[in-house]
Amino acid sequence: MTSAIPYDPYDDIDNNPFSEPQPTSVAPEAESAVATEAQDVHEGPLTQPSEQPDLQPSQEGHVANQNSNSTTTDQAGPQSEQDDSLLPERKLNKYKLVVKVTGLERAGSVTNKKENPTIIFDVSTNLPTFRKPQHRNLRKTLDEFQNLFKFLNGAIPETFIPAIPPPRTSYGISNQEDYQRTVSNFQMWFDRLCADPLILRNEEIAFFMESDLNTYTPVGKVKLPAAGLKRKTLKQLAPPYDECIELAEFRPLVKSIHHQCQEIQLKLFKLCKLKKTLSADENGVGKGFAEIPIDVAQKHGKMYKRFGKTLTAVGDIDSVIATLDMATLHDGLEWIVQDTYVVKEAMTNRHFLMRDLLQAQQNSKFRQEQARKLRAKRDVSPLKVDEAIRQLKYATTVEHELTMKLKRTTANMLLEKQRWLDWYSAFLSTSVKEYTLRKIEYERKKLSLLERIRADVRSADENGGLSRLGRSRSTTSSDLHPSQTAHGDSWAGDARRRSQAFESDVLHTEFDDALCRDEAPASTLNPEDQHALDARNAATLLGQSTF
Amino acid sequence: MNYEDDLGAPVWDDLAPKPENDPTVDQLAQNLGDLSSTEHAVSLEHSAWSEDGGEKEDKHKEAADEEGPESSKTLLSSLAPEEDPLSDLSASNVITSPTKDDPLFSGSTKSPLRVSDSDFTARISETSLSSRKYGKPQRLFSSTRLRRHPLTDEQKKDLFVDPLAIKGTTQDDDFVDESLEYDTEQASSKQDIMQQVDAPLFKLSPRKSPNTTPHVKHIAQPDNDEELSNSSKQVEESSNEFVIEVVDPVKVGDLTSAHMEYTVWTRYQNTDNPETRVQRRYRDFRWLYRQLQSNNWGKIIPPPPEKQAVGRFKDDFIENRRFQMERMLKKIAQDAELQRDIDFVMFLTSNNFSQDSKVRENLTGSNASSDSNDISEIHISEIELLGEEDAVNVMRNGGIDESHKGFMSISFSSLPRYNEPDQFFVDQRQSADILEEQLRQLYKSLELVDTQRNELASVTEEFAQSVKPLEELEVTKEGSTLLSNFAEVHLRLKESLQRSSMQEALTLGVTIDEYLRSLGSIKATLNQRAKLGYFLMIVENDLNKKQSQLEKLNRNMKSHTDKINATTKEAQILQKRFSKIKQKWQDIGETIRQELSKHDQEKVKDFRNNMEIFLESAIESQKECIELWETFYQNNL
Repeated sequence: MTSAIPYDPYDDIDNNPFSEPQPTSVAPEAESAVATEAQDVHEGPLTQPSEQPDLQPSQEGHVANQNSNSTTTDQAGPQSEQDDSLLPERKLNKYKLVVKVTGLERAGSVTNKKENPTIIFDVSTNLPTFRKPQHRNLRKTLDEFQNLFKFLNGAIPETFIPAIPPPRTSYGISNQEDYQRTVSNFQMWFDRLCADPLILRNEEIAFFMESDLNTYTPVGKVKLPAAGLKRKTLKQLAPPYDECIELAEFRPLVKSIHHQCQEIQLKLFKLCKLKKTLSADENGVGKGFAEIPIDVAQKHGKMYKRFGKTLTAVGDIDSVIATLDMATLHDGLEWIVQDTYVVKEAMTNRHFLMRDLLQAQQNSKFRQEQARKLRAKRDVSPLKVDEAIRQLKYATTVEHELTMKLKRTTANMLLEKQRWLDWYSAFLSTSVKEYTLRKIEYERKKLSLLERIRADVRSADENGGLSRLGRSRSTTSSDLHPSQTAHGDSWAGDARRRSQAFESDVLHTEFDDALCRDEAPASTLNPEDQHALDARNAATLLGQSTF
Repeated sequence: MNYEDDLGAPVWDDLAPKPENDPTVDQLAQNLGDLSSTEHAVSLEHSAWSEDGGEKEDKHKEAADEEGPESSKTLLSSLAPEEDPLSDLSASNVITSPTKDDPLFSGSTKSPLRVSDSDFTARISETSLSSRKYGKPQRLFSSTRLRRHPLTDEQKKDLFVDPLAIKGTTQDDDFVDESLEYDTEQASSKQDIMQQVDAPLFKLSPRKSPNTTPHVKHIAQPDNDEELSNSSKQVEESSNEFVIEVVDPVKVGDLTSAHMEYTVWTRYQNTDNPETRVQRRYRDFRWLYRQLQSNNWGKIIPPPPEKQAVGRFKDDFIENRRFQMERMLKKIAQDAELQRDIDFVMFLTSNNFSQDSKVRENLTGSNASSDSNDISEIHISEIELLGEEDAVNVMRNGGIDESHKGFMSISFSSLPRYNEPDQFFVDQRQSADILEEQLRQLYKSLELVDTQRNELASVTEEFAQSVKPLEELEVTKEGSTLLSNFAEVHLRLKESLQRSSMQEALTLGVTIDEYLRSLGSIKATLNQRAKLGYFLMIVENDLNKKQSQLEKLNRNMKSHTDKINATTKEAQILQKRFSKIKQKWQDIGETIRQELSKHDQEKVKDFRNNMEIFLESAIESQKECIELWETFYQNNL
């Protein structure tokens, strides 16, 4: 029967809904190797050893060629042919999946709200596994994501599945910031997913996206090469010999990154908690100052009150900074931690694969021996012969499968490793960048708050404060411009160009209302006045270094 | 020629026949020699330099001043003649081109130091240079160019005359240079070695009176003496020149009676022995405080540090205590009345403190040795109150309020309560209480913030350390530099945190702590007044009772005259006592008012200053923090 989708001989995705899982797509010469082996079983012991060394150099050839031309479509030499045939998915960048996350919903019970939000997204694709090329407003809960994730982990051992981002950030779920952050996190996750062609081909993605809300469970069986106790015991043994040095080093690297990031997270958490208590105490100090003039008719009652209020606001800003620290760096590190875990486990799976391969090799050797022994025997019962042949065939098939799988995995992982490392360093620097930016913003706000109270404190003294010790009384208004302006900080040597929005950002804080409540509306300085030339300004301008 | 030895030797080669310059060169040499032997400096005239002379100190007026200016003037005029030396250099008589055999730098070449005989003799007659205020400027280094034709007289008049050099530049303002001939000076003078040791290391030239800059208004006439004392290392100059330091804590005594002794070092310029050093321990400071309290009722005495039984030998604690005791003494020394107090002087000077203190205590009846930790608890000395004789009687009878004390301090009649009639004092007491409460709160929260900042600093360091291993993995190069700089920034932040918290503790913390303790002193004065009032009431009571007794006796005809006499006498004593106490009570009221207003002003100023320091340092550390992060951002991201 005709189908709507034209037949594409190069298409490697089997869209036959009734097909059964086949032995995985294998390279042509591997198939031919299997075929030849099946035919001359008697020459088995001769051909096998000849093919073993064949496989060995070819594997090494892989390693050598891997980084050069793995995704080229030209069939240059036999080795690149092998690469491409190992990873045919990467050959043609034909299938695309574009996902755009549009929203986030939190509903239900409190825990549900926190831990199980619903992601709303749009999908457009040209994958044949999807029923429709466009989908809008798909909704999926986090649990379903996690199910998908688990399945993919088991189904595609050749690649690293990106870890699912945490359901909420440290901002707290009722925060607009949190909303934006979570949405962008999921967007990033989808982007990473769609960049990996091996994952794309998997039909589970299609099933996942096309199923109704809260009804998705993976269609295929979720199986891991080893799980639970068996996995743990196997991990205790020394890892098998790995010819691929890069990958051999990669796993311990990832493991140490994982642990180090966890350490950093811990310390960061401790730091932020401490900052919060500190801010509470700073509030206390501010309160203490503000209370001084109560009941005691002091001369500078107003100054004390304002001073106290400012200090309280400063304490508040400190606590905001602490939250921000957590939200930027801590959450970033969290994702890295989880991702490294996934990568580590994937590499462990590869080790299991290698072990299985070794076992399979041993097994097929054993069968060969058996077959040989049978040949040497007089007593040749057809049943036994058939049995031996069958077993041998089976063993060698399994071995070849595993070998191909391992080759594929190794090849893919080498690619992925590089991509992963890139992602890691980019993400880390993004997190640190955000951390720094936010910190700078809020520290500047703190500074502007403190500077505002300067005028009051100084004017409380007849002489204009300690700052005017030894100087005769001249107009002091020029001193009280804020030191951070759009033209650069007054204390820094280089003038940093800044946007006009900068001043309004930095010089106004969210605490202004609380502070200004009992103040008369302060006369805002005419911006031109700030740049009016007087002797002091001129000297400053001249004195600024330009290098 | 040996150029090292013979300084007077002419520098240029003298093989060529010497022209008329030579005798003048010799004379120059002779002049130099003269100068060194007479210990006089070369004086150069430069109008700008004389302003510097304002900084020289006026210590040593040279005795042989008359000679100096003479010979120096001659040399001066030779070095900077009135007339342009170059004016003689005209095309006509300059050039004698050197011949082949002539040395290159011979004496025939005209040297800038052209001194001619004629000039010399002319100069000597012009010693009235100084009197001429409006003479031509003596230019040392003439910047005029060589002229082919010498200036005509008309042109000379047009020459620019430096206005600054004209006025006020008298001989007195000359820049007096140090004599370079150092060794000969010492050898020739017959100074005592001790004097030499004590003499200043370098001779500073005599400083003339500062009348240099006539156009500039004299803002302040700095007094030399005060400058001197300001430049010394001592802090806190009082108007009566007390300098006190508490230094050198030393642990003294064995295990059971171990205590710290401090050295109190005083410099007091008005007495014969300008410096004293004594050893005192904390207990002695408290004794002093109690004595001062007892001698000066109503005065707010600067408070001593608090008592502490445990942790007395920790370094921080010792330093804190030393600092507070020093402040106490300095404050006492600044107060005009307190600095004359006998006990204070004895405290600073006595070498036999334990005995002297006991003697004074008994003399004044101040009960200073028994002091509780609460400095507002006071003891009224009867001797102080009533004078010696009466006090002796009173004390024998067990105190003024003896009739109310009763057997074993159980009073049978109710004690009269003293109600302060003046609302002012009631208010003051209330406000002092409230203020104390608030300040204690504030102090506690400041301390909390301080400890937490320190903790934060250490955790920040831990955090920075934990980033390091990640950096060492060197996953990527930029990543590693990023991380290492990140850790670096945090370390610097930690240091700045520590610094700022320490500074806060030292400024604001110290002031608040002192303020709290002086509140105790204030309360003590109020208590003194209360106690006096109480005594007043008791004596009034007694007096009334006695008077009624007397009246009864008088009315009753049968009473004996001696009994009447005795009662009358007692009544008189009581009357006298009453008036004395009343007087004292009123006096103390006055003193307290004055003290409180003065104290308020001072304390408020102090407090505000500290708040400003606190604020400014917070601002500065913020700026530092921002700068750190900005540079990090720029460099790495």
